[in-house]
Amino acid sequence: MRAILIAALAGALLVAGCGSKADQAAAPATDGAWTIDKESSRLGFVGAQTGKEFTGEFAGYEATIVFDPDDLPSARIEAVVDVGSARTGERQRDAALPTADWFSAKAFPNATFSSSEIVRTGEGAYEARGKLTIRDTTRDLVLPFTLAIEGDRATADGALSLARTDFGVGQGEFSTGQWVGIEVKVSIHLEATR
Amino acid sequence: MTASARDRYTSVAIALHWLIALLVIVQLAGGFFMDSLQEPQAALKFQLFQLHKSFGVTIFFLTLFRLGWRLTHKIPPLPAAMPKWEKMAARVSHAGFYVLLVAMPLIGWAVVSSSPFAQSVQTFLFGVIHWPHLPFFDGVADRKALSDEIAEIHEIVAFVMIGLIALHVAAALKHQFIDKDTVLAHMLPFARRRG
Repeated sequence: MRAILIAALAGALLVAGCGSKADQAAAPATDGAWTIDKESSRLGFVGAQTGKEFTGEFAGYEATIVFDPDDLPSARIEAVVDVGSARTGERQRDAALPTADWFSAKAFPNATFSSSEIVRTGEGAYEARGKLTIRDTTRDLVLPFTLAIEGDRATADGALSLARTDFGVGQGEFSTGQWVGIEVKVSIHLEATR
Repeated sequence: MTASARDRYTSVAIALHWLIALLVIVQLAGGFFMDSLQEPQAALKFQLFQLHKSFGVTIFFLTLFRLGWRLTHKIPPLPAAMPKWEKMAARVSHAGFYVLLVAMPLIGWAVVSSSPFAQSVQTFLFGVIHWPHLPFFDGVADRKALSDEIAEIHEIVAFVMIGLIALHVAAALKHQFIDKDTVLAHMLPFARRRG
């Protein structure tokens, strides 16, 4: 069983920052760009196997984040998650996740999220709307997150629920929730500097 | 030393006998119990299957070691008073145990390896040591049907094992209380010879 996964992906997303006029051409090193502090960030997920919840996380992810609260039209998030890096604290689960029934990591090593727009929904609250691709399936995704910027450091937290089967994660015997829950909760905690 | 060695199995043989006996009983009881669990106990059922596999592989290796030991160490002779057919029955039933103790884990391994869950449920003995699947089932079209059939055989062999254990225990008790000979003492952990 396994679990689930999905997740994360999305994850990576997050964060943000501010920046100023995002220079669209020169992606990474502009002043609107943020660099993720991997030590303090976490791309996690919660799934359920035979009814019992378990937590996991992806160690491998990269994201390009351009974000200035005062210039949302220029904000964007591009995240790539190494699906083979999922760890759930149990060898048996971790061995299953990369197989063809689940992430099929050999055929589809990365899950990606690409924002099309980022909108403000409240005080320090935003939504990143875009497309999430896991395996060979791409779907629209809305990632709500909160963001606090202090000086040159930003902290973002986001969470959402995915149905793993929307992306074909869990084939055959695992395409129902009998052994492994369909819902996977993804949580993202990012800290970034600019 | 020589006298007592001749009167009993070696300490290693005795330890292996009782350890394997204990594990086999745990496997039989646990196997039927886990098989009876329904969906609400899916988590327990899953965990018990993992343990069952771990103990099964343990028995397999203990049995191989025991066979090696058996072939390289003398065993105490059966009482001279035993009729020839009884001696023959004893040897055949003992050999039967060895066959079952080797076959059961192998059949169980085939059940696991042919299962539709095989890819997603890799075996980790006691949660730690990765144990591969048998390679023969990759191209099987209807894995569930095949795996269920092998599981059926696994269960039938379990009943054969239970029958053989019953016979073995009955024979040991007969030697002890009816024949009043030293056969049971050969295998008891604490030297207790009749005078």
